[in-house]
Amino acid sequence: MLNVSPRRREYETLPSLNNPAIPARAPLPQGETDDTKRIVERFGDAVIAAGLHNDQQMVYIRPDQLVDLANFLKTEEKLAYEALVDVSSVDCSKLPAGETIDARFHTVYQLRSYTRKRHLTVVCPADGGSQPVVPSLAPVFEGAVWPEREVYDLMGVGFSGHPDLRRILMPENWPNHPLRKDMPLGGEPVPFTLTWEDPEFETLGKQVLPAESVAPVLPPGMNRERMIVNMGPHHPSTHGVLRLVVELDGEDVIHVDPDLGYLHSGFEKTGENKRYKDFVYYTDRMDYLSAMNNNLGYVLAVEKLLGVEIPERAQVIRVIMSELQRIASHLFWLSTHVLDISGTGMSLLMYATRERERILDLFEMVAGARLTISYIRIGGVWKDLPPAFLSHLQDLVDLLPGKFDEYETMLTAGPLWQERLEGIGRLSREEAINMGLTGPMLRGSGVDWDLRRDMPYSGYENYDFDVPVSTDGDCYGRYIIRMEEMRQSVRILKQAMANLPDGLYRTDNRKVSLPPRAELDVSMEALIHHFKLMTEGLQVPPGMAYHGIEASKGELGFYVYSDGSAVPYRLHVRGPSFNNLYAISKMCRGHMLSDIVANIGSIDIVLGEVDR
Amino acid sequence: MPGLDALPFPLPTVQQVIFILIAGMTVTGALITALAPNLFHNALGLVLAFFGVAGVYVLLEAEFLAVSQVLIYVGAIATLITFAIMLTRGMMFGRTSSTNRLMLSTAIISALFFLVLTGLLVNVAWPEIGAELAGSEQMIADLGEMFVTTYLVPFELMALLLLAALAGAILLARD
Amino acid sequence: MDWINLLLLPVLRSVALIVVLLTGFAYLTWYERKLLARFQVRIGPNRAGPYGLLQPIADAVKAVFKEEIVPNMADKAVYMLAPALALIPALIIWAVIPVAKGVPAIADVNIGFLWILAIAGIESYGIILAGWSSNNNYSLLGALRSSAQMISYELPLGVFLVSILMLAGGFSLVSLVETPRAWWEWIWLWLMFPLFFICILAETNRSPFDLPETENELVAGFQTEYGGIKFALFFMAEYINMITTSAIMATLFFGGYRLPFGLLGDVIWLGPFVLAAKVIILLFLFIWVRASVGRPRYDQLMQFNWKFLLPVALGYMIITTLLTVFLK
Repeated sequence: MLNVSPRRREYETLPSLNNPAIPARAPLPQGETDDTKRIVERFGDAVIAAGLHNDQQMVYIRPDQLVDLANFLKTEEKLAYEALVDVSSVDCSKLPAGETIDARFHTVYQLRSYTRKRHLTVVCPADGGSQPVVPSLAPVFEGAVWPEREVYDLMGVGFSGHPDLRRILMPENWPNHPLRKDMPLGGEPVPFTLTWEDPEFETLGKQVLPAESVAPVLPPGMNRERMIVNMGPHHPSTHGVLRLVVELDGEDVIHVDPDLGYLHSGFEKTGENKRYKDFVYYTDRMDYLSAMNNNLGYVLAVEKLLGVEIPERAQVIRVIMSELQRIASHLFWLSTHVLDISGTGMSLLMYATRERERILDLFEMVAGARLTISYIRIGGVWKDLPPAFLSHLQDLVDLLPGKFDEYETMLTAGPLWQERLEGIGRLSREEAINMGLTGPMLRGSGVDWDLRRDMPYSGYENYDFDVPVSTDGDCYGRYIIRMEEMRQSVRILKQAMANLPDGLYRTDNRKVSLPPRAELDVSMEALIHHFKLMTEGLQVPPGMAYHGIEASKGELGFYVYSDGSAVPYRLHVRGPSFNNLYAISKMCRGHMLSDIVANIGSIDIVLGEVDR
Repeated sequence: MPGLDALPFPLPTVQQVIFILIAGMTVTGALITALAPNLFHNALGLVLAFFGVAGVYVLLEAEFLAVSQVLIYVGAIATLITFAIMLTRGMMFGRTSSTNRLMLSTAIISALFFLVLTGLLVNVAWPEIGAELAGSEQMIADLGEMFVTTYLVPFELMALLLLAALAGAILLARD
Repeated sequence: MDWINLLLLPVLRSVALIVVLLTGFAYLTWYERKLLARFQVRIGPNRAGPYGLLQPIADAVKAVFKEEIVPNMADKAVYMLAPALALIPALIIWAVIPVAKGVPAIADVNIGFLWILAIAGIESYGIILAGWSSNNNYSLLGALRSSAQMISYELPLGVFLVSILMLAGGFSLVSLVETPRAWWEWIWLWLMFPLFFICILAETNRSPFDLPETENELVAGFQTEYGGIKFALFFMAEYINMITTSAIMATLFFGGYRLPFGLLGDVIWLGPFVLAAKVIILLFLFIWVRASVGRPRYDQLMQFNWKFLLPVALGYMIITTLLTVFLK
């Protein structure tokens, strides 16, 4: 029996307030840079547009030249865009027709040069109308495999030449592609969902609804003759509802195929139906272990489109929160990693969560919430730091290094710990870059890259910290890196506390942030601003922006496409866990069953972010 | 207890009752081993039979032999057999036929073997039940001494055989 | 009288022993939970009764009243048999352990050592059968790990036992405790104790050698498909095994029911209490190890056995032989 999910409530807007300029397409990039000049020289007419857009290098390319362009970008020494960070797509069907481009779908690629510290966005209008096909970049960048599957799954863009074009987040038998603009939010038939009108509600004891059962599908490349084990979706050490289909020969792993999507909740679609300010609360729920980082990544992307100045104090507060969250997330990673590898008795789980608890207490102090905090808002932060915050933070900062030493005495030099991690899940530098891994996974393979240092945001350029890098490329190297990152975060925290300026905690740009309550009583202008912000919402100029931050698990990127209204036209999240998890197959192959657990822990996934 | 004397047959002694139970167990085990369609059940039947034999040894006051039986046959050999069956996954839940084309020749050999055993049973002058044994502690010591004196060569040969079997097993497993 | 001597008395003794062991098991779970909690900066059970002392009873009630679920594709007979087979060896090994001066738990047989070895050998059956009959890949993997691990660790364990046997000069555990030892014998024994303890940890599938039931890899290993009282039986087997092996270690290494230096040697009723005290201290070791040592990988566990423990055990046996020949 199929049920129907509830319909959404449209935003009510006065007809007279409707701006005829909305919706609008993102303007084409203007001007040129060295890199775009080279690309235009090489590809000539195939480049539709190139230049800068919102200070981002951007190239529009025709699909027939896409693979050549990718090869050129990757191999040309003066460009050296070694990594494909993200693939997303835009369905332009609700936008006015463009002057030069009339394709319905665009695919958007984010490329990164680690050696030259450059970022390049490539936009490719897809051929084929509503059955679009673009050439796959997977043969050039291995990191494109999963993101392209995701685009295929959610947007229905086919990729020719893709090695394994299956759905990834939605069930195999799902009928449509939910991110398309003609798919309504709500109102579509959904199996397993109840509505209040449903007679099933009268007998709540009967909770299992009939649903058509689907025969299990063996992932491609697996041999049924061997033992096939489903690790998950309900398994103690998959950190959520991840399902790994594992082909075993005895205890040796032959093949691992992750099956995602059990926690897919359509954050992107939701975001495209919420006002900008309202989506902050949703970001908390993605990587629920580092909510602050998610808030920060999202608001930075929106602020890039808005072009607002953030006050100095707010910047420092954001850094403090972000680093605290990094420590909290790493502590939780450490405790679960130890638990996975060493078994229930390992007391470190409790020790590390004890310290994490202190951090959560601090969050509670500033925002009233501990896990889903939503403290960082567009234009600044929610409220100023409470007076007692700094002294409590000082206590914590004094306490933490000693605790880290304590953990390390339990683990780092321990023979059992070393034996379990050394040489496990080894990834070479080239593999890590090619697979689009980020964060500790990338640094663990010897790539000296940290967005905080190399593409600074929120004033990270003012802090003095080291970026730990390991050349081992194994789980032990990544463990060492994360431990060191926590120490560096404490270092940043100390500097931030010393340099915390007085001033505004959020921007006084009244087009972006609400006026304080007291001002409403005395100022007519404030009242108008308040009214406009509350009724029309925060209007973002048309354009697109990608902003990546160094979250605890890797590069957390938000791609926002604005059509000028108060609701994002397209919102895409590049979850670090999602891209990093791709490496699991390669990491596990040839090792033993127990090492799968070590590898999952070492990747540090949060399923809320993987499935989004 | 006057009523008991009136029975037409003598009341069995404790030993006899236990013997019957143990013998029943052994035979059941042997039958399961031979007849059960599932290979794993066959192995379990074998374990049961081994236990039965150990029980018989206990009744004969040969505790050392009994415990050795459990230690070696049940603890080691049968464990290895079950282990091997578990490793060959295809056989796990499949039914295997308990007969094959060698049935006739096997039946003849078994019958001949049974005749030999019966002959032994009837013709050898077995010690009487109830005969007291020398101190068993001493017996074990004597056993040990015999291994390194009178039966040294067979003992070492057995060890060599086991070693060869071990090496062969490793060789096979490596392929 | 035949019946009474041969059946009734041993039966009574066995029943008493089982009652003691089951109570011991129940409170061992409480002891472990409390201790683990302390190691992990927690409080542990404290709701059922004072200090959570009624917690084991609550657990038992819960286990008994849980719904009995048998997987559809399981081999039913074997599936039901397995928990019992896991528990029985843990209980019958007690038959030969002396609990007070001249009083073995059940019988003073002259094969005490061999009995321990033999029963240790059949301990793995419950686990193997459980893993096989559940018809679940995790269970099967757990069972495979368990049997390989037990077979492997039995070897050094057996060799160590043989060494102790040579020092003792007899198969009986009762006489082992009674016979006084020279000082060098004690030291030589205690040198071996840590290694012996490692073997015991592996034999009882205790952390860090709990690979057959590693919940982080195999969900719950061989007992994945078991619930309610059947699971409780496995649980019981594991914990009674802990008690049993602690008693064996106390007997072999620490003079069993006797106080040091022959103190109060004539007070026979003190024996069980002294033994119990030693067992509790050794159980503390089990729990301490669980709270602080991480788990090795399966192949590392095997390598440790074959490449380190077994050679060391053999070397130890050779030296013991020399010592016995020249010093005794």
